[in-house]
Parts: sequence; structure tokens; C-alpha cells
Amino acid sequence: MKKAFQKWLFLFVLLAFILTFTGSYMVQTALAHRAAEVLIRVKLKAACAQLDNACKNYEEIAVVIHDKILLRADYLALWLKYQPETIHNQKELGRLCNILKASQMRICNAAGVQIAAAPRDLPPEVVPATVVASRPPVRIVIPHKFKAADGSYDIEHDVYISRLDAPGFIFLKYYSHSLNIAYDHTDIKLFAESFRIGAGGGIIIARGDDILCDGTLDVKEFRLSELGLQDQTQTSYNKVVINETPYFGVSLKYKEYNIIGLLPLSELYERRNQLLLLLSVGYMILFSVVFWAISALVEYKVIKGIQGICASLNRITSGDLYARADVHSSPEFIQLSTGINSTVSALREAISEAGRRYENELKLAAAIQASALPRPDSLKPRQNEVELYATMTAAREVGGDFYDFFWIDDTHLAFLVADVSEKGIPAALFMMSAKTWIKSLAKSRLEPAAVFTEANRMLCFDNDTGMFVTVFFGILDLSSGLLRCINAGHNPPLLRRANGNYEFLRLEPDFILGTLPDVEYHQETLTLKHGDRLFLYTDGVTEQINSGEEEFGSERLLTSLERFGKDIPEELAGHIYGQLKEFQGDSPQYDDITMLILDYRPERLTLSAEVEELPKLQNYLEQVCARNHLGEDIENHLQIIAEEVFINIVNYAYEDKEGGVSVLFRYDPEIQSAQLVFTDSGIPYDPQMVSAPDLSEDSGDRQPGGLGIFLIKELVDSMDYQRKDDRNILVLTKTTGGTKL
Amino acid sequence: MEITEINENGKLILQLDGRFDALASLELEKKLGKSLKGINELVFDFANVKVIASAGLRVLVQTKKQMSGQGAMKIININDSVREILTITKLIKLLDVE
Repeated sequence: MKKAFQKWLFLFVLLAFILTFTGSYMVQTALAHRAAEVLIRVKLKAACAQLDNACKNYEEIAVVIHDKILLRADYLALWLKYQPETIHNQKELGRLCNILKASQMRICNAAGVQIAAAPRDLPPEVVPATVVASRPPVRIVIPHKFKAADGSYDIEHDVYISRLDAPGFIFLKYYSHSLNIAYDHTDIKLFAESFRIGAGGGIIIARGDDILCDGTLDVKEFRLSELGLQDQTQTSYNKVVINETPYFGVSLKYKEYNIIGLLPLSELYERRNQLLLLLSVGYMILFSVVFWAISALVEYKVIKGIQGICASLNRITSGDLYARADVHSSPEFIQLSTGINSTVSALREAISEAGRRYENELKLAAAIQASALPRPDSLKPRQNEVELYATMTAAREVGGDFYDFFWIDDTHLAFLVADVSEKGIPAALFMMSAKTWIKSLAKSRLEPAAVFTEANRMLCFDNDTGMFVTVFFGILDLSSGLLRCINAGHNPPLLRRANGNYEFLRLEPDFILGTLPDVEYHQETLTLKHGDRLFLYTDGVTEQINSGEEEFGSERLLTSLERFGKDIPEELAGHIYGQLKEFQGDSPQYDDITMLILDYRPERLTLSAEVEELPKLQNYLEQVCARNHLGEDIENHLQIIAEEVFINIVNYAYEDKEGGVSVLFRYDPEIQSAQLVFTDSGIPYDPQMVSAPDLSEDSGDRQPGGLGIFLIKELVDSMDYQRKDDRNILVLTKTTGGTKL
Repeated sequence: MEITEINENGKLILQLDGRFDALASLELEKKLGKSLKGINELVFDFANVKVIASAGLRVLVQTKKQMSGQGAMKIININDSVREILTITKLIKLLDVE
């Protein structure tokens, strides 16, 4: 946030710097051009003024020289007037020439032809015809130029005056040094040669398109237009390239000349560049200060506030709906804080409302699920033949585990432990479906394998969610201890034989339910004996993880079972659960925890059909009566009933052969009803069919026997006989609420 | 069942202790077969008899029949349970219970 802001601020400041620098550059460049133009123009004007002065000076000198030459010619004329013989005196003429400082001295006749000259060997020269034709007295001075030996032009004056001594002309050539110096000063080209502008600049003097003079610039081979310079129409040039060097140019009209002053751009910009360098450094410092000042101000005024708001928002998004935004550094932040606080408050309300609704629904679902799990006391009235305890602790309100147990008939108990692949309400619904199918199919007395084959087909049907369930299912025949069971992909249960150790019951595993509709399931059988115990569980037990990511595992389960294995089922389940919680520590419960413990403890007594076995029967009844807290009267009756039935079987059932008798005692305290079930494989015999003995006879005729069946009938509340599978099954029920009679 | 015999000049008192069940009946039958000779008064002391089954009743009826030719037989000190059985079977008068 802060970095992003600084980045943008930096970009803006950089842009401002660039704009400012560009502006400065343009202004400084324009100023430099202007200054250069003024400078060059002033220099050019000064030069022109100097030239003007030189010309004036020259003219004045020329006038003086003019008069002076005439005067000297006059002197010679007078000299000849008075010393005419001098014409013939060459030596004298030479002396006069020196005195008069004339370079040549000629004396001509009236026709202008030279008659005498000094110096002596001077080539003859005639007076021009115009002079000859002039009306006397002639006084003419004609300046003329000539090319000197050094190539420069010099001024020489030719003076013609009329002779005083004779007709003719005195013709002097006079060369004035001072005049020539003055003349030199009037020569614009010479002037240009030495004229400089700046260190590397100079001037070009042109007439028309021809460059007359190039000073130090060496451009004589070009024409003016070839350099991009125009004749007289433009007064300044921003860029003129000569010999690859760029110049700034200013042109000025002077007489018939076009004078162009040129200054190299490098010189022109030198000062500008220095100034710009200085300005850049200054700007950099200025803009840095501005950047840091704005940055600090914004951080103080805005970023701190935004960070405060962000910190509050982070707390809120991480789940703390009671966090408040409290930034008061500006009215905007106060407004923002208030807005956030009221939004979060409304959100909190909405969430807690939704949470309450969801919680209620889950509670309802959990209650439905709990009500679907049978309570252990639903095993009555045969609780003392098999003791069963089951518990399920869901990891969430509604779990995916379940257990079930129910009677198929008087002697067959079905039980199961299952784990649905998912959790929550969908899993609970699937669980209900699985539970219902298994129960209803089992109740219709199908074999476990058939129950599962059919239940699986039903569960696969319409199972769009792809859920499945693992089940361990068993049907126990209490009369024989025969257990038919099936393991559909579930954890192997543990079996503890009476006085033995817990061992995993590893059946051939079958496929999970609800995935492949055409699977055939297979059951296995084993026989439970008195005192055997089965421990069924789900993977919520073995796969519970502790803080070290370690699983509880089968070994720990086995150890815990060995430690608490002799406890009654309910206590054992509590201990195992306690061990799990201790192991789990601070880690959460990951999965539903389900345990089902079944103790097979049939109250069945098996005897040989011999009278000597009677004490065992009596002993057995003593024990069961004591265990069920039945009174002495009831016990006495039961003892009599049992003895009569037993003796009857001993005497008649097997005739002379050996045989056995099985006795089972059941007691249901709720309806205070005790039952004795006698089973033998002897000849069919229904005691109900025996007619009552005659009790009216006196002692003499009274038959000593026949009272057994009579006593039984008298002492029981009901008697039920069945002949089943070649066995006599006699069920005698005695209510214990009150003694009969 | 323990059986204690007290023989006082033709009067035999049998003190019974325990359950008068089928096994006890067999034992008593054996004993009486030897001991009843010359006895003119037979007393069954039931003070310690908890319960009686039909086998016991059968022995008592048989003995009563046997004694009818040689003397009196009576049963004393019966508890409620035994009395109940004797009442149901209508033997309480026949067996001369005190």
C-alpha cells in the first residue's frame, strides 16, 4: 500500500521534474539564441561602425593627401618656373623627387609626352588625353589602385598640374603610406579575415550569392545558398552546418554586402548547458524534498489511517467479528471506520442468526440420528444371555457412523457397526437408508450374504452422491452360539474367547456397500462359546491422530483392550474412549468414534438325562435366582418345576438310551416373568396332554406316582410345548410378582 | 439330603435335612427298606426339609401304605413350602401331618 503510493508519487514527481527540466531547457535555449543573436548583431554593427569610421578617416586623409600632393606639385611647378634648367639636371630632379617624396616624377610637354622624369630610368608614360584636353590651369588628382608585389591593392595618386615654366604638365605619382594604411582599414575583406565571434566563430561576407570572404571558416568553394543561407531576406539562422560543425548565424546588410556572423552552437550552448546542469541538480534536490515531504505527509495522514483500517479488516476477515475499526485521523476515516463497524455488526448478527438456525437443524438431525440408534436395553428380555453395549460419538453434530442390533426372532440377534464414507446430514440420510435396508432384509430371515447382496443393490440404486458404507454385520443364534457374519470392507473386529486374549477376527473381506450393484456377498460362520466377547469398532478409533500426527492404531487398541478387557461392556467402552481422549490430547476428534461390545453368556445348562445330574440343575437354579434376586418361594417353586420336568425326561424321554437335556433360564424383571426352557431330543412328549391324577382316593387306593406333571401345571403360569427339529421344547413361564394360590 | 435315624423301641424318628428331591427319595427308599422292620410308629421330622418334589411325595405315599399294616406314620415340623405342596396334592390329610 505504502510502496504502491510511493511508486506513483515517484512517477509523478519524476514527470514534474522532466517537464520542468524540458521547460527550462527550452527557455534557456531560446535565451541562449537570443543572447547570441544580440551579441553577434552588436559585434557586426560595431564592425560596420568601425568600417564606416575607417572610411571616413580614409576620406579625410585622402583630402589632406590631395591638398598635400597638389601643394608638392605646385612646389615643383614653382621650382621649375624659377629654375627651368633643372629639367635637364637629372641629379637635381632626383633630389627634388626625394624632397617631394613622390614615387615618380614626370615632366611632360603640352601634348602630355614625358620630357623628363625621376628616377632616371622611369618608363615613359603619357598624360591621359582627358587631362591633356582639360582647360588650363590643370589641377587634377586621380587616385588609382594597383596591385602591389604582395598581392594586395594599394592606393596611389596621380597628380597632374599645368607647368608654370612652359606649357605642359607636371605628372607626379605619389604613394602615401598613411593613406594606404587608412585604406587598408577600409577594406572589408581584410577586416573580415581577422574578425572573430567567440572562440571558433567568424563572419562570412557575401555579395549576392558569392562569398567574398570567409574569415576563418573556409567556405570559399561554396555559394551562399549551398550553405542554407539566403541573401538578405533572413536575419538569423538557428542552425547552419559548415564542415559538419553546427553554427548559429546572424546576417546584417552593410552597403552592398551581406555580412553573416556565425557562432558555433557548442559555444552558444556552453553556458546554457552549464546553467541546465546547475538547474538539474537544484531541481533534483527540490523535487526529492517535495517527494519525501509528500510521502511523509501522506503516510502520516493517510497511510497510517489505511493501515489501521486494514489491520481491523484483517482481524475481521480472519474471523474476529468483534474487531472494531478505530481510525480518527480525518473525517473520511471516521466515516469509513463507522461504516465498517456497522457493516460488521450487521454481518455478525446475520451470521449468528444463520448459525443458530443451522445449529438447530443440526441438533434436530443429530436427534433423529440418535433416535435411530437402538438403546442397549432394547435387548430385553434376553439380556442375560447376551450383554451388548454400543456407543457412537460423532465428530460433528451429525456423524456418518452407526450401529444397530435387533432380534430377528426369539433366538437370533442381529448386530452391526457401519461407517458411511461422508459426514453430516447427507451421510446421516444414507446411513438411515442403509440401516433400514439391512434391518428389513435381515428381519425377513434372509441369510446375511443375501441380506447384503440385496441391500447393496438397493443402496447402489439412485446413489448419485457416490457415498458408500463399510459394515460388519453378524447374526448370532443364541441357542447354539453360531455366528454368521460378513465384513463389507470394515475394520476387523476383535474376538476374545472366554479366558483367552483379544485377537483380530480376520474374515475374507467383502466389498463395500453402495458402489457396485452386482457384487455377490459371502458370509462366514463361527461358534461363540459362553464367555466369548466381540469388540466391533469403526476407524474413528484406530485412526484418531494425536498432536504428533500419530495414529492410535490397532496395537494401542489391543493394549487398551488387554488392560481393561475384563470390565463389563459399558465400562470397557468408557475406558477405551478415555484412552482415545488421552492419546488425542489437544488434537480435534477427526472421525466418529463407534464401539459395539457383545458378550455371549448363555444361561443355558446342558445335562445328561440321568438323575445324578439333578444337583447341577438345582445348583444352576440357585445361581440364576440369586443373580436375579428372586425370593425363596419362587426359587422353591422353580426348583420343583425344574426337577419334575427333568425327572420326567430322565425317566421317559430316551427309554433305555442315553440322551441330553438343555435347560435355559430367562428372567425379565420388567414384567417379573421367569422362564424355564427344556429341550431334549427324546421321544415326542407333550406334558399338557397328560390328564390330571385322581386326588380324591384315600391312602389305600392312592397311586404314589403321577404327581409330577400335576405339580408342574399347578405351579407354572403357562406352559408351551413345541416339537421342532426332532426336539421337544417345553417353555414354562412363572410370574414372580406373587405366589400362585 | 441327610437322613438321621433315631430308633426308640419300635418308634423310628427320621430327621430329614435338605431337599426332598428325586435323589433323596431314592436314598430314603433304600434306607426304609431295611429299617421299617418291627417299627410300629414312624415319625418324619421335616424341620430341615426345604422343599419336596413329587418323588418325595411318592415315597411318603408308598411308606404310608406299607405302614398301614404295622403301625402309625406321621410327619411333623413341615414348613410352608412343603405344606403348600401337600395341600395342592391333597395329601395333607392322608399323610397325617401335624
